Amino acid sequence: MIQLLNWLGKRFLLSYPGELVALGASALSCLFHPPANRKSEFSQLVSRTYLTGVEAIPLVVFVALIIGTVTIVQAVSVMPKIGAGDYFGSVMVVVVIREMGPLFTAFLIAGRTGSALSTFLGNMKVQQEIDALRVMGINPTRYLIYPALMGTMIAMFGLTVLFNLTSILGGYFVVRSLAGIIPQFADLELSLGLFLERIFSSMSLVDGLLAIAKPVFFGMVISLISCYHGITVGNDTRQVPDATNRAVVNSFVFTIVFDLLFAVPLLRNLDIPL
Amino acid sequence: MNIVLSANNLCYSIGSHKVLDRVNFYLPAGESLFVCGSSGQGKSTLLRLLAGLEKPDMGVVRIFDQDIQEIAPKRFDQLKTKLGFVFQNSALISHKTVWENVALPLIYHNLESADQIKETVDNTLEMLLIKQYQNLYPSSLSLGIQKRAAIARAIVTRPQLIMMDEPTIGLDRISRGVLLALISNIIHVNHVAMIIVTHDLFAARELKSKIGVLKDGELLEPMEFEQLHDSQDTFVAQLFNELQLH
Repeated sequence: MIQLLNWLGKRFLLSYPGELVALGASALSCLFHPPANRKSEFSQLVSRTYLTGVEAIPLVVFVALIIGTVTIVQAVSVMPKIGAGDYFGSVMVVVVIREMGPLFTAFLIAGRTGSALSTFLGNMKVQQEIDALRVMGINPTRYLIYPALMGTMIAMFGLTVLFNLTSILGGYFVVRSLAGIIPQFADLELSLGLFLERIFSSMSLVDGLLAIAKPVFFGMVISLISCYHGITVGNDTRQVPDATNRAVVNSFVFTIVFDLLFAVPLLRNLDIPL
Repeated sequence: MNIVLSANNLCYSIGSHKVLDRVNFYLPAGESLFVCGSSGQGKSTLLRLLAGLEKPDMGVVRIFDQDIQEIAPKRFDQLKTKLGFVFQNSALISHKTVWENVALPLIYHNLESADQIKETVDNTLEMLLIKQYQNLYPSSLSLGIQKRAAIARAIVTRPQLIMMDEPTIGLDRISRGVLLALISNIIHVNHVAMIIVTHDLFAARELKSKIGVLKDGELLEPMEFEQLHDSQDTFVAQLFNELQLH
């Protein structure tokens, strides 16, 4: 039995998910070992968070506004017609805060930061820059992967909060401002107070926890996958685009799979036998 | 005799191809050794093994009397502050300026205060005659300046041992001459031990270094340029022919 577990453990560590877990464990272990130069490492972290988070704000706001507007229009116009008008708040919470916010932000970060990170590290590998760090006694995991991991996790959380706020509030104001131009929107009778009250009254502790856990976890998954594909590039420049491609696609797939896993415990609330 | 670098029975294979076969040598403090050989003889591989970038199939590498395979990774990282390495392609960090590249090991290891780092880096850049390029990124530099920047980065921590991979390759005559003068200065003034892998036998003669030839994976006994030139070994003669020294 022990031999079987040993064999399974070794097989897992050699597999793709196993190598991702090992890379993540190695990067997160840096949290418990203080760097020689805290100031330098902090500035690396700030720089990575800025690149991932602050520079992505316009894109996230733009997408969030469109998603928020579409969701609000659909919810406000369709739901009363099928007798589900009272569930408007719940729908907004489930659709935007639980699902669309973390998922769309993760997709944007995977496409933008994930691809950049993978290309950046892949090029460094091909140009022997990572070897150069190693011969200087600079641990590449500590110097490159740890700040990327932490920066992406922090940025993902911040951007998801921004996405949720923008899609809910921004979407509401877009719909209101369009009411004067598009006649159908004029029929939407919903004050801001009632709109927010319905949303906040539908929020639970689970929603709050998910709003924190999901983006942070997705950020970790995206950065680890992107870093892994970057640092496992060989010595050939032609491998860099392939690595970037795999990093983005795998980030999308893993994010969706983990989104499903996050949803499984919530199915209990629907009284579905599992 | 203070030995800073030694290799004992070093073997390395890629698949079934034996790249290095029982390589033995030692390098005393303050001395230099050139490792020459035709393309594909494993010169760069030898250097990567010595720096701990690859693991040998067999054999021991000792740096400052420490077996680099037995030493703890953190201790080895600290040891590397006494070791400089210059890659064939310079391998400067592309998103950092020349100044930032040179300052990197000092900053990461927190070896000096910020003021001292500035002074040390400025002095090193001046010594290598590249102070005017300090704010430029590697992609905008010529090959010769990139090599000098890489050497600056390798010597900024005042190492006792430097490894160089083809430092003169691709350089024009003037840049090569400047670079060799700077390397000579580092060896003879700073008393740094240096192992240089190169095709450039002339460079070894100019720096008055011993030369070890890699032949079929084995490192022949290091000797002076003149001794090597007079060698009866057909492989060595062929190497000289290749280099058009005759």
